[in-house]
Amino acid sequence: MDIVVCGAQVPFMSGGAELHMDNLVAALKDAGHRADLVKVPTAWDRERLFDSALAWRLLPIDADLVIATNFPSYFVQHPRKVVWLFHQHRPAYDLVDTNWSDFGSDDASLEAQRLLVDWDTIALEEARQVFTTSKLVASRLERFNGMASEPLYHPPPLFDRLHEGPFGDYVFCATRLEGNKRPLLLVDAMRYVGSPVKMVLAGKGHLDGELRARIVNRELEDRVSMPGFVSDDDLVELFAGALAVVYAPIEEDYGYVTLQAFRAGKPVITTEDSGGVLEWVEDGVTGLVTENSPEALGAAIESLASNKELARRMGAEARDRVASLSWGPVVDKLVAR
Amino acid sequence: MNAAPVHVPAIEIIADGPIPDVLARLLRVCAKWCLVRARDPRLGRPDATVAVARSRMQVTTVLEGSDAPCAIWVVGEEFNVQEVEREFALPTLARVLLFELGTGAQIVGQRALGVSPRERFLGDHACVPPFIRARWRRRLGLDENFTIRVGVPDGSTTPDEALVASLAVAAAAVVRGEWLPVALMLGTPVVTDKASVDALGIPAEGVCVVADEVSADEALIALIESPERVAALSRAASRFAREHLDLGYAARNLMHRLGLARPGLDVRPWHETGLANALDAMNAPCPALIRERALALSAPLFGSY
Repeated sequence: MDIVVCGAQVPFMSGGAELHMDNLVAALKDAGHRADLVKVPTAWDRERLFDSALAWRLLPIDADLVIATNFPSYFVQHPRKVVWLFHQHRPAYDLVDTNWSDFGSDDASLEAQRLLVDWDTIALEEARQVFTTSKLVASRLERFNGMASEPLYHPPPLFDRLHEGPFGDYVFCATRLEGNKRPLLLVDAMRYVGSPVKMVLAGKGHLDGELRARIVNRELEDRVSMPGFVSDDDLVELFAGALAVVYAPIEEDYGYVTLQAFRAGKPVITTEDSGGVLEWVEDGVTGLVTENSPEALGAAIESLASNKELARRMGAEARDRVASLSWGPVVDKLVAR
Repeated sequence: MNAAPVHVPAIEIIADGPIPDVLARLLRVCAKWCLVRARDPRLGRPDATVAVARSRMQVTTVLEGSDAPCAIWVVGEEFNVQEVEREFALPTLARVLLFELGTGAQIVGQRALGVSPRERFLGDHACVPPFIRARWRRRLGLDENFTIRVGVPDGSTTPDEALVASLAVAAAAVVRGEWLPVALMLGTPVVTDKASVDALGIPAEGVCVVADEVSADEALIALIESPERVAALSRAASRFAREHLDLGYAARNLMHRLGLARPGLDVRPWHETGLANALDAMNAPCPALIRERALALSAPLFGSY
């Protein structure tokens, strides 16, 4: 079958969504299909929000099947359109009234929001089937658009390479250093860890400078290291040697970090407002769930640092939870007639 | 520089006998955007024709007598839309077969467009989804659970415009009688009674909540406590109203299928621009920013569609 995967991208920005699209195309090819990825630039600011949606509307796509992924790629028109929804334009939905949204309560904002919901629903209702990456994304769709959908879990990047290892003397996190990932909260948590355990915070982003300054300011230079962007080889080894993984984004859609940690047999310490992460992290079973304060996160890190047996037990359970993830069933669902 | 003159499309009516009431009402709505006129050779070729055919002979006469895009209103006991589609090698100009849609009837056939006698022009009321309603309520200083009752005798009267505005922001409403189609069109989560849904041919489930007078308030409270149900009802209500209760939607659909422009919406003929079609299919209202942007961004391509 000839399959086109449709995705939107802000030029020069790359993260989990881009990896997801690439891996989906690879999985479709592995299953014997001809697959290609079509990306169209998009802009997230309110003024230009609908431009790319309209562009998708007019694109001629010749294929047996199109699989649309993120906003606004699902505006593509095709007689056989399937949507695997990563996320909608969250600043107009669940993130409205936060620092990540440019939608206010003025007339123009409210009308743009209304139109966006209407357009989203029309475009999504055209699909033969709507899948989501997680229960959280499905619940947003139900709450905001009145639409039912089916969560479809998939393995994260490096799934086949991640492996177990010793429970070392550091907690680890690899994430984009952006506000919605709350890396500052992770650094602050280290002030409340009494054990000599350290933190390795990998990744790059706009908060890099502020984080480094915070580490100096809090006198945590000996406790927190920031290696920047790390290679896949290094990433696999950093997961394998960690005591645990700390990951506390705000309302994350899915969260590869959690699944990668689980695959490496590591428990995940997270917060109760971390969204899709909580579909995997069960408090006291596969990790620890705390309130979103540095004190609470610090206490959770301390509890595992002082009880490696607990970390080991939860890590083993976590690895079991993701053992069955594979691309085969995902591809079968997406291409089913 | 003067703007190009806007072409107002003309629809010519061909009817050998009385025009059915539903068709007359449909054409009156089309007249908001088109010139609708009787057949008159002195006025030149129309942009489209709408013909009433009560027999096979009349279908043949219409098809042979017009080279404009044509919609044929099929009436009478003698034959029906499916038979016309099957029996006549319809030229591409016969774009639409219109017929009166009875309660529970299905629209069958690629060119068929059914119109129900229940339909009336509901105006350009856009669907306001529940969480946008909540934001409007906050903005207007209304109670988080603001609800209203319409068509329910309570001794008060409210001006129509205020009623529409209230229905557009209410968390939910008890609505009976003539305001029900408007409430549904606005995407208002509605509690109503059996007589009202029966009168409009609304399906028993999925579009609104049906409750008797005694239990309506309880049903209203239960409804607003379930955001997921409210969202699903709002969407289904708006869709149902547009597709089954609104003559405006039927008229737009007819004009779209006849390839006619809608003056006032765009500065160029509608059928010439895929862009305008795409905008219209997405319910982008006339003053929407994206309409202005789309036309401005595509201006260098004017005439190249």
